[in-house]
Amino acid sequence: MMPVVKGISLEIPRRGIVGLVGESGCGKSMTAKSINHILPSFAKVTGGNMLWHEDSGEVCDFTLLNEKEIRGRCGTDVAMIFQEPMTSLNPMMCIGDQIKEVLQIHKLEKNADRAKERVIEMLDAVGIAEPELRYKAWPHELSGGMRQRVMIAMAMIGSPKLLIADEPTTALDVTTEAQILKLIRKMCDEYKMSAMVITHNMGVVSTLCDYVYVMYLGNIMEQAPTKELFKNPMHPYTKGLLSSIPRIGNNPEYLETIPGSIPVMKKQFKGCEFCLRCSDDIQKCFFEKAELKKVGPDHYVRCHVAGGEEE
Amino acid sequence: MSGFIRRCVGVVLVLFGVMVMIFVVLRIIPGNPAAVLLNEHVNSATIERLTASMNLDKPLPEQFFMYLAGVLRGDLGQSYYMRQSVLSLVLEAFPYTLKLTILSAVFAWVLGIGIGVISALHHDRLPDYLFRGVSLLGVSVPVFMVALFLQYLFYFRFSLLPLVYDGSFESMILPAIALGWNSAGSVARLTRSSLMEQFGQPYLDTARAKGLTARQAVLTHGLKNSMVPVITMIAMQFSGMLSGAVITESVFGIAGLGKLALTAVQTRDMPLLQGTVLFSALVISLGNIIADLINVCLDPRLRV
Amino acid sequence: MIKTFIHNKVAVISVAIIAVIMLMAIFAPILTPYDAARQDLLVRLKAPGAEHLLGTDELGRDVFARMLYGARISLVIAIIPTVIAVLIGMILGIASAYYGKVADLLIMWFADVTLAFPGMLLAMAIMYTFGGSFVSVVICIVIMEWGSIARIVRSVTLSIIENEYIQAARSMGVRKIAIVIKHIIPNLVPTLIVLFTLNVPASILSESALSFLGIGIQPPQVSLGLMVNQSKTLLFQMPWLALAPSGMIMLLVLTFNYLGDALRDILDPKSKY
Repeated sequence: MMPVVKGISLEIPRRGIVGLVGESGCGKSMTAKSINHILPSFAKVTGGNMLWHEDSGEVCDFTLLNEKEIRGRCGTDVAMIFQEPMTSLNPMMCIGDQIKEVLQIHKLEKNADRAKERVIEMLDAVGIAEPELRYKAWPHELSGGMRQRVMIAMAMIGSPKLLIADEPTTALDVTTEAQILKLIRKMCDEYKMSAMVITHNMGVVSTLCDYVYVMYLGNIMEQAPTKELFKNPMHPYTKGLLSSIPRIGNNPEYLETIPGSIPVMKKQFKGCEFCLRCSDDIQKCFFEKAELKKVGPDHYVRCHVAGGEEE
Repeated sequence: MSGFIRRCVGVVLVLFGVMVMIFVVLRIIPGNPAAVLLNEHVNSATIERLTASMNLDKPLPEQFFMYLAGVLRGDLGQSYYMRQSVLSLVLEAFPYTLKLTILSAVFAWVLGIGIGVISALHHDRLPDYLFRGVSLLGVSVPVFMVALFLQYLFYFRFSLLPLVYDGSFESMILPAIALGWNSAGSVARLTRSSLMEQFGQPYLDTARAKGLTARQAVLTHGLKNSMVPVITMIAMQFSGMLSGAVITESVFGIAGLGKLALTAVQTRDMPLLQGTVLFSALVISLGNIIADLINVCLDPRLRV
Repeated sequence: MIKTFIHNKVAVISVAIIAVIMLMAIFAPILTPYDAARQDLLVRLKAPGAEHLLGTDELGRDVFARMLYGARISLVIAIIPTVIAVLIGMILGIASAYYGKVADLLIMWFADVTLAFPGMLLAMAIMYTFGGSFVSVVICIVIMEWGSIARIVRSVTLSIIENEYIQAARSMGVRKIAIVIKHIIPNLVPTLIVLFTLNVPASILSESALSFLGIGIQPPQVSLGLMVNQSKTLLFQMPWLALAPSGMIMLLVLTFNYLGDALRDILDPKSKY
């Protein structure tokens, strides 16, 4: 067994939107899927806690829940939307019934007519025109943006307290992306909901998130409030990510990139995972993992070099 | 809808081909078919009478069009041996075959889909290995062997069920199992692979994120998605089942289409054989159309 | 590829079993002193024992010897028509995929026509015309099998000619027939091997079914299906008479099916037929 994600600590405040950023393959989706126990069969959670603070003040550790208990919370406490709105919808079921299923599973609405009404209201709320007609639509009849709206409706209908959005706009074009991001924001505000947004796109982070975690190879490299992170990135990886955003206005000769690609980790590596691609690594980076250290209010970085040499 | 019409036109063309082919195959016998048809011992007058009544003295294309015209009027000709209209004989025999195939199809689907699902849910663990072995065994035993084995076991050893068909429901059980056995094996194999193909599909994650357990998600969303190829195959097997029915009916003495065809061969009754084959081809084509319709109902993406 | 084959236990075991059965069938005269057809009414209906390994039938013929000679015919009849059907299916499948619309429509129509027959009834029509014999059984099996082979070859060929290198060859003016021989057929080989292996057991089953019904191989020739047919009247008294040949059929079909499955996994992991 190879650890994919290790030693990460995330905090999602009530009504806050938290971003989790990183290149593909760094363990973002695995982190998300471990929350509601939908990891693929080859992966499993071997340690740690996931603490859920109820409104009543009680604390529940999600890692200790069995399949039945966690399913009781999926849809009503934690909802999720996925990257591929096409394949994430059952192609053989009309969209209305797929949304209604949430109400049926959790027995949220016993009256069938009322359930259908609620679905239609929700379709309307996520901005689908003619919701009564669209109730019977099949997934393949809808555009990518529409499908993602359906996914959002499906996630919202159980009024969850936390929304996990796994690359919600990656498969969409830029205009649709903006609309969907706006919709997620609106939903969070209206339903007083927290959200965890997983993305590799710094643009998504800047429009949607209050707080950002930057992840590399299963580790948090830096975490900070969004504004702070964009203004004052500390970790070389964060800097790399930010400088590789193409900008209109300044026309550089070429787009900045982070050299190399994510290494394949066959064995446990003692040093800093990023040192192979880092521009200012020192010898220490190869042998010793840096600790997360505080460099500002709510701003932490895991680096030997950035934020001043350790003592 | 236009797709459906095109499908129907295709079926009509195929049935036309079936007619041509069976007509040609049955008439490339060297010599006078009427003489072959009858025993050598009859006199030439009888041969001539038969030749005239079956239009065997006319050129082949003319014979064919006369036959075609008859078929379109619903006249499949006269059985030489049984001295009855072929159509009435076929219609008399068909209900038995239909009963047998439907019963064995139900047996095959219930068992096959059940085993396939269990296999897929426990894939690469003991129940899967066991059931995969059983289903490969299912597709590998000849129909007559299953039939004889069932007779030996349930009639001779335990005297639980009748040896041959006597009109009762119990006497149809063994034939149905014998005939359905092979199909059950292949349905199980296809169900397993088709369901396992669904396993990585993101919509199953969605279903779990909604609050369904992994198993519920597979059994509701996954199973429905995996059924299209299975139903297509079941329809294709329908033709194999009619083949198997020939054997089953002969072992269990059921007076169905297969038995009729076998009698036709043994008594050298050309019109009867021709009519039986044509009728079964029609039944198979209808079965395929029905399967298409079921799939279209099931999978909205097929509606164009 | 050979390496994956050797590492696939199922494939190796199946090949071993098939090889043993084939050798036994080939060397039947050495393995048994009895002749399949020789009747010895003094030793009728003997139970299995030292002298007659699997006993004798109602005419005093040695069942073990008959089984070996029967397996001979069953194997020959499994392989010859399957080879012919695969060749016809390959040629027509390629032609259908690669040579224009009219050919495609005609060939696929013809395939549909043969597939619309219940195989056994078509076989009966052929038996009606030609009488039960080795050659008629071969013709029957070819007609029953070529259609579905052609369909699969057609669809695989269509996906092969999608490849850019074939388009490139076309645009450089390579003749169609050259492309078929140089590019398409070599790429079809794995599919053809799998199709062959999976159709052999189907042929064995068809032959045995026809012979069982008494319209296939005719006595004094012997085949496995015919043996079952001849033993069914004594099924309850002497079940081993039926068990020996049907067991042999089952073993052959099962191993060929296992081999076909394994080969498909090795050669053509993505295919679904």
